[in-house]
Amino acid sequence: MKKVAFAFLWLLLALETVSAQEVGARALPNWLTGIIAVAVFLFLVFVAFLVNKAWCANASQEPKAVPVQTSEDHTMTNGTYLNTSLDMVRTSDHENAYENVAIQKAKTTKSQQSRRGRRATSGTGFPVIVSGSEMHRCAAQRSANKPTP
Amino acid sequence: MENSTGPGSGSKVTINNPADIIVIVGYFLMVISVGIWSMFRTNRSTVGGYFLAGRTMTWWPVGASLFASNIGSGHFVGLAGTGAASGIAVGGFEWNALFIVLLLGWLFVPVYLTAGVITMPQYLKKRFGGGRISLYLSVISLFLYIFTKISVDMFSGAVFIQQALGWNIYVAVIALLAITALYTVTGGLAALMYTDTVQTFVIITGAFVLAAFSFVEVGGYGALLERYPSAVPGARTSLDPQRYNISERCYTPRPDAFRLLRDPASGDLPWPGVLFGIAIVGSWYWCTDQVIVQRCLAARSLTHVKAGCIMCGYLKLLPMFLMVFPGMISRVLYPEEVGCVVPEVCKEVCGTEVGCSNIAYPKLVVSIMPRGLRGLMLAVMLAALMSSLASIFNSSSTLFTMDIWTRLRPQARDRELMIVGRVWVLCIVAVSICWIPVVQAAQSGQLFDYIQSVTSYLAPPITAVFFLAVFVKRVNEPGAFWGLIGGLAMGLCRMAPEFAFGSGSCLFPSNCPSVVCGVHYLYFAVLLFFCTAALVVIVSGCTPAVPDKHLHRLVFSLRHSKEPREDLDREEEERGRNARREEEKKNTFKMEEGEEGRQTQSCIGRLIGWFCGVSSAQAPEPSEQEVEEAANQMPDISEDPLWKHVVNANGIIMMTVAVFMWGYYA
Repeated sequence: MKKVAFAFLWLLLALETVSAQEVGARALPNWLTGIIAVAVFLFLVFVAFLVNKAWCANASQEPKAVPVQTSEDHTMTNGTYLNTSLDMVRTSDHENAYENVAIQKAKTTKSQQSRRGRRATSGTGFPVIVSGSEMHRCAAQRSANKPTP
Repeated sequence: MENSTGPGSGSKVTINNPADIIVIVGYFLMVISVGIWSMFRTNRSTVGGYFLAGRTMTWWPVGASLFASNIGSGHFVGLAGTGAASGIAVGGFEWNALFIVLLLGWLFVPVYLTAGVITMPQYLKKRFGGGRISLYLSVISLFLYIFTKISVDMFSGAVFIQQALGWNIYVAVIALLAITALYTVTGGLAALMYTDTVQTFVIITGAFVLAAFSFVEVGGYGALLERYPSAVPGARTSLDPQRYNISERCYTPRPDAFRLLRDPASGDLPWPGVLFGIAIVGSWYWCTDQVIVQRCLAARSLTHVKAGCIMCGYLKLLPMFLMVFPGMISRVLYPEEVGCVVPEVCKEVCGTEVGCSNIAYPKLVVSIMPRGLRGLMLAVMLAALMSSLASIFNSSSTLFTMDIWTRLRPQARDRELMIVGRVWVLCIVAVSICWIPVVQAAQSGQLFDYIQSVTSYLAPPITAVFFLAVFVKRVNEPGAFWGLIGGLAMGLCRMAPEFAFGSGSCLFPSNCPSVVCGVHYLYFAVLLFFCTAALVVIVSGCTPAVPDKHLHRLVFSLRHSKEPREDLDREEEERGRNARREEEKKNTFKMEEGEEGRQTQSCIGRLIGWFCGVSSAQAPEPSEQEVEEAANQMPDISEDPLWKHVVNANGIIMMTVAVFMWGYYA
């Protein structure tokens, strides 16, 4: 209640100062446009945050299905975003051949590929542009047990 | 002091009282001592130490250096002058940078850091392969530095010195350049970044003092809002009606002077151009240009980069209040001089017929500031001028050494590169001095328009290529190259007629055809950006893609990848390393033969060597195996989770503040 009263008084005071000034041909006083802009911006940030969480949540459902595998050929640690090895995608066809990663993703749920960010490539080969904040947040969720530098 | 184009207003003052002189001397001593202190702090004899400060910088020198490198004397004179002439919209250039600098820290620098590059052409060379793109970028960057940044800052410094001090322009500029070159050549980037911190403090303090005095003089912010629309000069009838007539809109302040976002068709800075065009040009300046990126690469870790970017963003809020508003106050207080419209009157006031808005800031310094504080303002201008010039010198030396010299002489070792880098700085200083007569001849109010235009016509293709290089893996070398060439051709098609016809003024509009010059240069920047991007995408689509194995840690989506990367420029690097090993073998052979030759390295030689930071001991060229091992130790862009959230939150807060300011003045 106190807060509301205080806000109302502040609003009155501001309006009074505004009417004393000449602000040019404006529909709204300056500070009001500023506050509206801030409100819109924070709303957009909130929406982006939600979208981010939803998108990351989708992607993170895949890795949960994959069990931890370790062998002497390659190491990977569940929950670590960064440890990958090309050995994991070796094929038996040839010594130097590797699986086509994009196609693999469609068939199996190989978590490492999706984590590495090799997202769906369209038919023409242009990848979906991954937004930076999304990568950050995805990484943040997964790198909890990464040693701090 | 005699000067053929000197101003005729009798209010020139020379700095001749003890208070002013003490302030100036004290300023120089401070800067030089910080430069010398930083000489002892970092190892300047390696490439990493000289050009990247050993990658040891914390966030506050990074932030301060970003700000000081950006703010030059051109900002003081240009922002104040354009603010006086057309209101606050020019501040949009500064406030747009608040967002672009976050793009730099969050999106681009992680990629540059993991790529492990020192220069931007080097990044493009690794990303695309081949030499022509990096050569094009090096050449055009050096061109843009010399003709836009250096000339603008020197012109503005010259205007200030002439107006406020009456010194001989050559003496003053040569002294300035000598001092700048001194601490650039000796200290490298570390010296620059630490002195930039001092310069930032001096700039902000001095500018605050002047802004405070100006607001007091005009009667406060409200009084400025009231009095600006009626700040018209008394002399406004044509003295030569046969030649020209003065229409009212040429001398009346714009009615939308206090708005950032102006009419898209008739405004002098239309709002779509302000929002998008300046973003594109700003992205070139902040995200792809060597001067700025080099400072971020010198940071200790990615978190420090981001914090430094946020600090720079907050500092970028200030120029509107410290430079643009005082410029407008200057017009209110001195409408006859700053707002002069009759060509003959203008020529008498400031030596050029087009207009005298450029003298807005120096006029305030001369007229309002008391003794002692004029010395402070001179120190401020010197700080701005020297910090920007020093940064440009250092970065152009980096570009020349790492991209052009290593191409000419791949066998050059670290020691030779260090020497070449320092010699290049001296060459650039000489070119800048020779540029002064050109600047004086073009001493018209139009130099800033030319600079903005030149940047808007040449920078957007580079922005487009960098954006696509970092975010779109499909883009390859032919696409990028033909995109750059196509963009350059488009830009030149617009630039050549505009320079040929001249941009004209309110009284004498130019007769450039409106199909070319009618499109505002900011709109043209947007158009050029999208055309170049389309061209790059189309040509890349028609040519084979770059396989992922060449792209690890070179694109945003693969920035965390730990897989080994096969460098596209591997062959060239290998040739370079072989050449250097050959050179080393030859040298050791020669040394074994001529043992006695070594003793005669004189005292003077060693003194110069110490001063320049070049050590005589040359580390041996690593073997191929060592190179591979070094490549496996990739630069770390991981972040401590707590601090990452702290900087992210701070970034959002800064954007909120920026959005509020934009909304307030929209």
